[in-house]
Amino acid sequence: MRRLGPPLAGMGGVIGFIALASGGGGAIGGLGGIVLIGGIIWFALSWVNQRRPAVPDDWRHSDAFAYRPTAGHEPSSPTKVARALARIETKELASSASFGVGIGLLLLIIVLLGLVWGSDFADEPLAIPEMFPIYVHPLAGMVIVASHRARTRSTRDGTQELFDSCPVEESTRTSGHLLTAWLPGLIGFVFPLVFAALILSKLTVVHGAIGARQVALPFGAAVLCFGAAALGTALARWAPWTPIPIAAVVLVGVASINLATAGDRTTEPIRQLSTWLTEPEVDLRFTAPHWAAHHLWILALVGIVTVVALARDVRRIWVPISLAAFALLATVSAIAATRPIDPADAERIAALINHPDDHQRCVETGEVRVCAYKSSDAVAQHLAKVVDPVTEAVPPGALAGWTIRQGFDIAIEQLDPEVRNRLAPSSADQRVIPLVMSGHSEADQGALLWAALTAVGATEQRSDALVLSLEGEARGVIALWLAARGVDERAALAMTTFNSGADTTGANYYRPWPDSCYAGPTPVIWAATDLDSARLLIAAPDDRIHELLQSDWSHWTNRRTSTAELLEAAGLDPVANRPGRTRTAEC
Amino acid sequence: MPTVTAHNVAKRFGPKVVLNGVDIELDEGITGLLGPNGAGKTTLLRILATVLHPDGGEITLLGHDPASAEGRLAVRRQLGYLPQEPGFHRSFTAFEFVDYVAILKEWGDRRSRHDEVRRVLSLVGLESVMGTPIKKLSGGMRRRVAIAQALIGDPSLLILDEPTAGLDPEQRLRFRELLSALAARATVLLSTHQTDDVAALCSRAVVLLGGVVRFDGTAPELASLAAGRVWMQAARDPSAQLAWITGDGMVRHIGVPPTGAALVDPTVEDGYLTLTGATSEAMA
Repeated sequence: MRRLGPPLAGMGGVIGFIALASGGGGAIGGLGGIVLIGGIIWFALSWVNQRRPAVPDDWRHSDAFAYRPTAGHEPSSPTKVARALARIETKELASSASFGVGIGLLLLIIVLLGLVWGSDFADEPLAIPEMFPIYVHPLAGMVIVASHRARTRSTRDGTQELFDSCPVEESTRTSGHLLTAWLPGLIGFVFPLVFAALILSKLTVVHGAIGARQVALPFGAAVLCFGAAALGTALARWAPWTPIPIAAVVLVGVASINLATAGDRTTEPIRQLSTWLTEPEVDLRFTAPHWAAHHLWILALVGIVTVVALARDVRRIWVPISLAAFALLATVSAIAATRPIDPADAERIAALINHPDDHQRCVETGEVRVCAYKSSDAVAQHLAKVVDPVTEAVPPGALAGWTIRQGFDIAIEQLDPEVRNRLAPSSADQRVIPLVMSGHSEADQGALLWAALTAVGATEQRSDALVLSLEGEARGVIALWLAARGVDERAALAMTTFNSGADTTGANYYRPWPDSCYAGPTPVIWAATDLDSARLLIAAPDDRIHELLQSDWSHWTNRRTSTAELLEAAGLDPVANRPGRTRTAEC
Repeated sequence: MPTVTAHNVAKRFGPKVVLNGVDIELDEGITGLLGPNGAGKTTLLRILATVLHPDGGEITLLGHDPASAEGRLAVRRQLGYLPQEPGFHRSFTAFEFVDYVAILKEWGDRRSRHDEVRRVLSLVGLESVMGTPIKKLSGGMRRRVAIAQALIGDPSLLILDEPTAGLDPEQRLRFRELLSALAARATVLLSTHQTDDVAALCSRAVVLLGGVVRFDGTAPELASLAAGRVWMQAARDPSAQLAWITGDGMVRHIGVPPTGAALVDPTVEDGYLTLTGATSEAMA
């Protein structure tokens, strides 16, 4: 309990603060409540502890004083001493408030990004490890502070003179502190794995091939945390003043973020020099950063910092030699990390884009082909099942030749120039249904609507800039009816409910189109009365509507056929006229 | 051969001369270092504890030259040091703190180190509170934690700066008991303002005044400096250097006694006060 106090206070502080700042709602609010209750219990126990009587002193009552000489010992090696110190200092580090704040921030990340928003990674699970280094930064920052405070504790507490009289050298003490880095390093390694496992458990479809690039990332996160402990220790040896670690955290943070946002595109090679690597805004399979060189660069920086920490007290030849070696490694790896993409990689990526059929496997559902790159078969099969109710309900020919294709939405401007230069003049397939492939439920609804809209001919002339108005057109209502076949009753109701604008926040504002962050931008708008009509159609006997539509599909999907005509033909009452149209949204 | 020799040791802090040619030789046994505040006692102890470099002079500790790195290491391996204000990591327990110092004294093996830590804590009567955070211990108990760390490994040279400060009378007696047991196997140099500790414990007394050694001899010799200069009478004699009313209502005087004064046997304190008073007069 004594040791748990400071880190729990740190964790509680950060979670409580953010819970208050976020208004106390949702998961964070719940977590804040737990922290509040925990805090009250902790303070109560502390108060009880404080009220205990003073520790009795029984030296005067010792009944048998006899001098026992020491059993003696041989002086231990500096390595053994450093390891012994590290054991104690690791406990101290783990029980410090700064470290607790770092762990609290990690917990927040797990709760928010893992549990609450974990499904954001549905379209590209391979992006999860890309975020590991960023996510451990809050812990790394607090480890810098905690390590600095640990190494300067003797000066702060007035024990330095006593320690100076001991045979162990300062360099051995510094080594002991450096060895505590295993703890943040281990947490930096385990946290990403827990985080990834949490997200993966929430995803409906997991796809993509894990390669060396992904495997290296948790190790990279661990190295960052290790380096943070080394940096805190080095700063303590050279600049033992209290504000220094905080200033260092700010400086490193600003430098990292500036490097991480340098240039115009997220695949800029210079960004590889940042510790704060952001996820590229393009499918990872279309990128080929020099990730090994990046990790070597970080490793070299950690090496430099570690040697600098020891250099304060060690005057031996290996110090400048190691420093020079790490500096050389840093230079070489920096050059390697920032060089342009390899021509072979550029060729490979361009081929993926220019000739997707050569690299993708397709699943057929009705007349629609769902194609995905070979490591993403799972998402193709999932999406084929999703749109199956639509393809089953439309007559032959309605979706003939249409493809749902992974990677249709490449942000060309985000590609490396070496890849862009190799792209065929027009690689765009005109009969590709433009939807984002993922296992997210919102994206699934988007897929249903896209397939339905395509079947009724509402996407033929589509461009990104065009939002087609289907107001009063029967085909718009039919598209909603088709899409609703693939969802449950509740989702069907949401899909056909016009939001009057009372709730102007959140994705529901833009219904019936699902959340555009998962389903892409809204391609069409409906009249409010179209939604009312669609609900009537959905509520009607399925066979009757199906038969009606099949009888003259081209008529009912003609843009001149009105919603009123459709309702009448289906034997449904006309809906009351009311103003309003659905809204459009971009993520 | 003496275990500690210091010849012509000098130290200054800026313009202030703190030690001005100190000569001292110590053998096994307990030596008490007396002197008023600012006399240079702590500075001398810090130099002998190898945490402060002298500006001049020659020092040999346990046969080693502390000016060299090898000599310093050899000395520190046999040294127990209690600074005047040792400081504590307040979140540590008594055991953890002494354990930490033991590691810094190269006790890397956990089992033997923990045995040693328990041993020294039991020597100062803290075995029952070794798991208690230092911040919860009384001032006297903290002082004993500090003493305990100095005893790790039975050092051959024990340098204690005001070890009995903060101890109550019973604890001081226990401490004397402990130190007397150590004196048989180590050279102990303790600085103190408690002249009765010197009288009770020390085979030698050294008085430092103004950065120089003014007295170096046995405790009885220090007391004898006041022989014939201490007397008792019912009323205060204005000619005395010092005078105070004792518990029985009589006034004890130090100085030049008047004719017919009732002389009493001097104590170490009387000798020390005579020395410091005489020195003050001489300096004046």
